[in-house]
Amino acid sequence: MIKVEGLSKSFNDNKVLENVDLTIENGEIVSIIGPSGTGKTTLLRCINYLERPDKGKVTIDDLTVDADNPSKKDIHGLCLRSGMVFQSYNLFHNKTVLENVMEAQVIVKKRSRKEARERALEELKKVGMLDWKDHYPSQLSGGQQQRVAIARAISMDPSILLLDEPTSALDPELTKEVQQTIRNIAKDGMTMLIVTHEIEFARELCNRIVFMDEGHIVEQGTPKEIFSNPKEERTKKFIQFLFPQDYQIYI
Amino acid sequence: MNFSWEFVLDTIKYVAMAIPMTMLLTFIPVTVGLMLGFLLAVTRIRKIPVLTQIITVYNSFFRSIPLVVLFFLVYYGLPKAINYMFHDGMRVVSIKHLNNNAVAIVTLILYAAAFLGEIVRGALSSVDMKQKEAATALGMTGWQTYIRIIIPQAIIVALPNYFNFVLALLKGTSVVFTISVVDMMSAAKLRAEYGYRYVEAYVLVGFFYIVFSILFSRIFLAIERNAKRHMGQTI
Repeated sequence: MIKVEGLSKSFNDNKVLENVDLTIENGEIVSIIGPSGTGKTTLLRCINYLERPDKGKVTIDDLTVDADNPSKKDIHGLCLRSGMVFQSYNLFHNKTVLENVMEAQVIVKKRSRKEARERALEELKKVGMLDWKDHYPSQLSGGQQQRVAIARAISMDPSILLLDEPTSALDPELTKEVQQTIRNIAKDGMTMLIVTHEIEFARELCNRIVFMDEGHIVEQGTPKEIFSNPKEERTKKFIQFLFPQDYQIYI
Repeated sequence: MNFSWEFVLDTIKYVAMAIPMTMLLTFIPVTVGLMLGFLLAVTRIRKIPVLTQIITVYNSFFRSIPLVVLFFLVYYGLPKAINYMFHDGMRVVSIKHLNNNAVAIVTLILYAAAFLGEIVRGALSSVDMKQKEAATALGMTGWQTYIRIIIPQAIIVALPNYFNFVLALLKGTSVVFTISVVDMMSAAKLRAEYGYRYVEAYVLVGFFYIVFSILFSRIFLAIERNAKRHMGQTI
C-alpha cells in the first residue's frame, strides 16, 4: 500500500504541491491527469524522493518517511520499494540491454550474476526485447528503450511502479507498443501510478483517475465517474476541453 | 658545411641514456596529474564554495603561462619564497639545495593537473546526468553510479583529449634543459656544445621525438578503440 499524507513542495516561491493526500491499494492502477505544470510529475518524484518534499509523509508498505527528518537509509528504502519509468527512458548508455536490466539487481539486490541474468532474460521476454539483449541503447528506438526501462524497473520487484509520462516522447506507433507493454505488466498485478496525457489509455487501463490542478488533487474516482460525470467545476472544464462539444464518451 | 654522420652515431647513446628521464617527466605528471585533476574537476562540478574559486584561478594561471616561464618561476622563485616564509628573507635556501629533477616533475604535475582537470570536467559534464536519476531510483548509491555508469562514459569522451595532452607534454618536457635537467633534449644539447655540431645533435633528437610520438599515438589509438568496444558506444 502506498500512502501520501500532507505532501507539500515548492520550488523557490512557486508552490507546486500543496497538502496532497493520496492512497493506493495493492494491485490498483491509478492515473494522474491534469493540465501541464500542476505538479503531477513532482508528486511522482516526491514519492521516491528524487525530489525532496518540504512537508508530509510518504508510506510504502512498512516504511514511512517523514519529510522533516528523512535519513539516507529511509530514502534508499523508498527507492528499493518503488520502481520508476522516466519520460526520457534514462537507460545506461555504456551497458547493453541485458546489462541494463542486470546492473541494479547485482549491485543493489546482491543477486548472483546467474540469477540476475535469468531474471533479466525473463523480464526482457515479457516486454518483447529478448532479441535485442546484446544491443546498446543508442541502437534502439525510443519505444524499445522504454520497454527495456520498464523491464529494468520490474526486475527489482518494486511494490509500486511509478511511470512518469512514459509515452510522451514517442510517436503514435511507438506509443501503442509501449502501452501494450504496460497493459501486459498490469495483467501481472503490478501496482502502478501513471502520470500521462494519453487520456484514452488512462481510461481503458486504470481503476482510478486522479485529476490534479494547481498543486491540489481536485477530484478522484473511477474513469466513468471522472469522464462521464465529473463533480467539480474545474474537472468539468478540463474534460470538456479534452472532449469538446458533442464528443460522445462511451464507457 | 659538412654533416657528420659519425657525430650523430656517436651521440645516439647519450640521447638514448636520457630516454628514461623524458619518460619519467611525461608519464609521472600525466598519471599523478590525472588523479589531482579528477579531484579538481569533481570539486568544480560540485561547486564547493571557496575551493571552486581557488581552482578556477589555479586552472587559468597554469593554463595561460608558458611552460618555460613556469619552470623559471619555480626554479628561481621557490628558494626565495621558502626564505621569505621560513627564514625572514635571509638567503638560507638557494637553488643548489633544490633537486632539479624533483622541481621539474612537481612543476609538471601541477601543470598537468590544471589541463587534465579541465579535460576531466568536460568529459564528466558531457555525460547525460538523467542516468544518475535512474540509478538513484533503482537504489544505487552515488559512488556506485559514478564508478559503474558515469565514469566509464566520461573516459570514452576524455581519452582522445587526454592522449593529445600526453603527446603534447612528451614534447613539452624538452624545455627542462633550461633548469639543467638531463632529458633527451638536454643530452643532445650538451653533446652539441661539446663538439660544436648543433645541426647533427638537433636532427638526431628531433628524430627521437618523432619516433616516440608516432609510437605512442599508435598505442593510444589502439587503447581508444579497445575502450570503445568494451565500454559500449556512448552518445
